[in-house]
Amino acid sequence: MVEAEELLRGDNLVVQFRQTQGFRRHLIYPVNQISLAVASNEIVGIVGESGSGKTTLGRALAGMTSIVQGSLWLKGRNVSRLNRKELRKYWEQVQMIFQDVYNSLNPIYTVEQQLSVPIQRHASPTQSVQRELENLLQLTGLTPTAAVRARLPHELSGGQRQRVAIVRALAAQPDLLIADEPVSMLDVSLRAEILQLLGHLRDNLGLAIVYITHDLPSAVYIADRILVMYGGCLVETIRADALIQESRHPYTERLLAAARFEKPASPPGSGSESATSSVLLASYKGCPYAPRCPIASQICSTTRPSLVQIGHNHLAACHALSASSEAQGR
Amino acid sequence: MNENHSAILSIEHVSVVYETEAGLAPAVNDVTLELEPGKILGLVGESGCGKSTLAQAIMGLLPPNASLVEGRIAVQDCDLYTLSEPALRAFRWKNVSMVFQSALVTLNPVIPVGKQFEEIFTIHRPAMSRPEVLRRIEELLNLVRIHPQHLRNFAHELSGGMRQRVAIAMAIALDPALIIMDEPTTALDAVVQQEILDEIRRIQEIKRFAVVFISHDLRLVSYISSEIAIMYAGKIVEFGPAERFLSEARHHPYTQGLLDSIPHLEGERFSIHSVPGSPPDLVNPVSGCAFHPRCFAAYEACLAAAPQLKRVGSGQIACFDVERKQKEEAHG
Repeated sequence: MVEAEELLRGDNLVVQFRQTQGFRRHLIYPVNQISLAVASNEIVGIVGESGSGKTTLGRALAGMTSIVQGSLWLKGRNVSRLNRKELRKYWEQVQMIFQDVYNSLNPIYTVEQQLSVPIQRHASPTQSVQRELENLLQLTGLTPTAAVRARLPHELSGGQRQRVAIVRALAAQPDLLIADEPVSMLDVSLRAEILQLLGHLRDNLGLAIVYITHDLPSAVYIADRILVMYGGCLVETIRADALIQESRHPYTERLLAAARFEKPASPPGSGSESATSSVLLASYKGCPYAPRCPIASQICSTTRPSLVQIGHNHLAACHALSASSEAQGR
Repeated sequence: MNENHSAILSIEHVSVVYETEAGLAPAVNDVTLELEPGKILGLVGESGCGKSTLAQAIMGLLPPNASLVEGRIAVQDCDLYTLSEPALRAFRWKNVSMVFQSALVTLNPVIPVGKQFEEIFTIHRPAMSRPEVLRRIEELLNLVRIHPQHLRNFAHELSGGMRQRVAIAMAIALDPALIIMDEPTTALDAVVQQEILDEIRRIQEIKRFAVVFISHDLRLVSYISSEIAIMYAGKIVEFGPAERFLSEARHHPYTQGLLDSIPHLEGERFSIHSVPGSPPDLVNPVSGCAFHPRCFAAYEACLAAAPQLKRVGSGQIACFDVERKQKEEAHG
């Protein structure tokens, strides 16, 4: 593969939240020392469960949540700390769409009204707003366009509403689209259409996409590269077409098994596998997956493993894996 | 289907109609189903296919603008629609209970979970003493693997998976013969979803209740169900044992569409396709088969009349194209 031009890069990003529990206050890191890069025209899938920090990471990349440590770079320009005016500029290049298509559109505006304003704002003076709107509606499959233009959000199906949200994001002619669970509220039968539309937009507009989801199969389907996230950290990054065969982190394995409805190899001792937020605490020093991991050893609960290369374009953060690859190297 | 007294749930030629501003919308149209004790029936279809309306009809919980215009629904040989309102209220939860998609909606946000549990018993089992009730609640929580300390928690303090476990424990509190589960795992992550499904199966094997499991995800439903009914525009278009949806090749074109729309994790790469077009307009239905505007196999016959369920392999399918292909094969 030819090394593509780097669009967005994050170095050791940290996002911090304050949490109150009774009278005690804690500091948590939903995004903890994450480094990543998105090439132009690339689709990167960020996969993890609720509470893994994937949405917070997405919001940080979109400039909607501030970063307390680390730096974010867009086309070589430092965009870690932007003022309001600079943010407006940033959002011309980076746009976001959300899971909840029911609440992300204004209920009393027709499709045309929703979309004309952002198109007008971003169009060059020579461009006709009407023609641009028509193009975007055609491009996203919102046809017949004349009928769709006049509809209110509640008159659209869930899939159509997500398309309208996509058009609104595209109006700014961004380089990067951050899509946070864009299909998880849609019926299974409609998801494929929206996923294919995202792929189509990448191919035709040269758009880069960060696709955030808890659904591993859909990420494998659409993405070029997958970042698996757990407890605020990246635990494995791998090419999507290699993931099924070569992924090795215990959490990725668990996600694969769940997607195939297979029972876990060795179920953890206590009842539920639900994540505990205690691994997000700033005071926690171990591997975030250690409390649930079937192969965790002593070191895992005391020292956080770093992300190391274990194959071609393949990184994992796991003591067991780095130990075994070191042993092989000798 | 013949008269069978062992059935827990029998639905005979049931039609439910909504009165809307635009006109009458038949949401469930001549549905006949039967469920035996200890079986899990999966009910699958897109939003608006009538699966949740059918569930509400089984619970006797249809909204005010909907009515059962035809047919009979009996749970344990008791016709729900002959019961008075107080009798129906007693019947619900004791004989048939329900688990919803979001336990956050069903659990009262300002009352601790434990108090809500006790309420079930004070209303339905007034003779039970408090220590007995508490012992029973503890048993139930053990069954769904929730630590009794969580009884003091409010609903929002529990994780999504824990809330759904609590909802299941509540649904089985009075040992009902039938539980309706309406998308119980849709709001959960893949790992927790599988956990809850396994939990339902495990408890179901102990308690032997029957389940109507509603979802739009055919793959998930075929994992948990013993038999599956596919619904489209208020009608059952395919019915059969769960295995047939994974093994047999011949399906209703709509079922095929649902199967093709799911990303699999087999092999290196795969393609997925969605079912083209949009869900049917119930107020102004098309002529003939309701699926024909979206169907790749539709021909003249499909526009003229609605197909009936006919036996195909181990199941039943309502499709003229499938019928035609079967006839061709039979004639060599």
